[in-house]
Amino acid sequence: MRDHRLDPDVNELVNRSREGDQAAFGELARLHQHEVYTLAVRLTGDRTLAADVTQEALIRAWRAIGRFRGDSSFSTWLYRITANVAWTLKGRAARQRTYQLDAMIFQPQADDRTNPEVAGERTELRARLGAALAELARSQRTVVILKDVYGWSHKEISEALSISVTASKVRLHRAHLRLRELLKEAS
Amino acid sequence: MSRLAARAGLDRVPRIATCGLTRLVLHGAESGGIDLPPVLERHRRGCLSCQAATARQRRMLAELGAMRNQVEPVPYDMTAGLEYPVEVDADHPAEQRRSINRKTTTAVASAVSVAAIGAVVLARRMRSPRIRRPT
Repeated sequence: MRDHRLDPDVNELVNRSREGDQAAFGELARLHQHEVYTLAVRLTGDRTLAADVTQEALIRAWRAIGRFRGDSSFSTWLYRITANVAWTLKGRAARQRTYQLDAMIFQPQADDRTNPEVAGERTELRARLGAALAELARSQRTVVILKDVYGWSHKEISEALSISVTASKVRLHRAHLRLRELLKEAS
Repeated sequence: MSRLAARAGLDRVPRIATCGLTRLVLHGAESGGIDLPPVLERHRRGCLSCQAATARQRRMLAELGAMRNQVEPVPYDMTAGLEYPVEVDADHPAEQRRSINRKTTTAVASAVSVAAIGAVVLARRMRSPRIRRPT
């Protein structure tokens, strides 16, 4: 995966965007849209909703870019907005019941870099893990993805989801218990 | 051994057994890596069940971490929404109007309604003969 933080152009684009340069922000959005969409797909479990989340997150980022102080990297800041939008829109969608969770979202991609036996085992584990993730409650899945996949701290998660740090820890703990249960059942 | 560890039964756990403390051991691992407090680590080293459970947990966390590198290509250009300069420019902080938060609006509306109802009730009671002052 390309690390945009190391890209000097990104800083330049961020600075120009903060001054209201829409073309620069468009370029930034194009650079990050795949990763934002991936995060949205994982958080919502639905590609249609994820597309909505991605677009909404990019628009919100444009609105707020003037307030971006650069304390974190631009991508981290953008992911935080995405997580927040996904949380809000998914909640709304759940109330309206218009979107269905797609377990196929979490299906593994083939990994042919390791030897076939190890790759096979990993693929199987990923498949079971994917199915287990799809089974988790939304609140638990969100915390697992942000913490274990994206490596956020509990403090960052609590800020993005407007929950307490303790709630984030409790959700992660319960999610791990449930994941282990589901993996055990699947094996 | 600390009082907490003794209370948890760590001092009585057979070294090779199906361990009822696996959950407790793994609880220590929830906060990030698998770095456990010394007491739990000593126990884990002697307990096959805990070792197996920790290995499973490690594999699970490793697979979750590996998901980070998988990127879903966008089905279409997601930046299209930004190409309506009139709508989006108006949203930019430099140019946008100050909008009132929806929660604040609801709270103010509720407060005004309650105050109006209160005023009506008070006015009626003031006119009521029971509480009217004798002249």
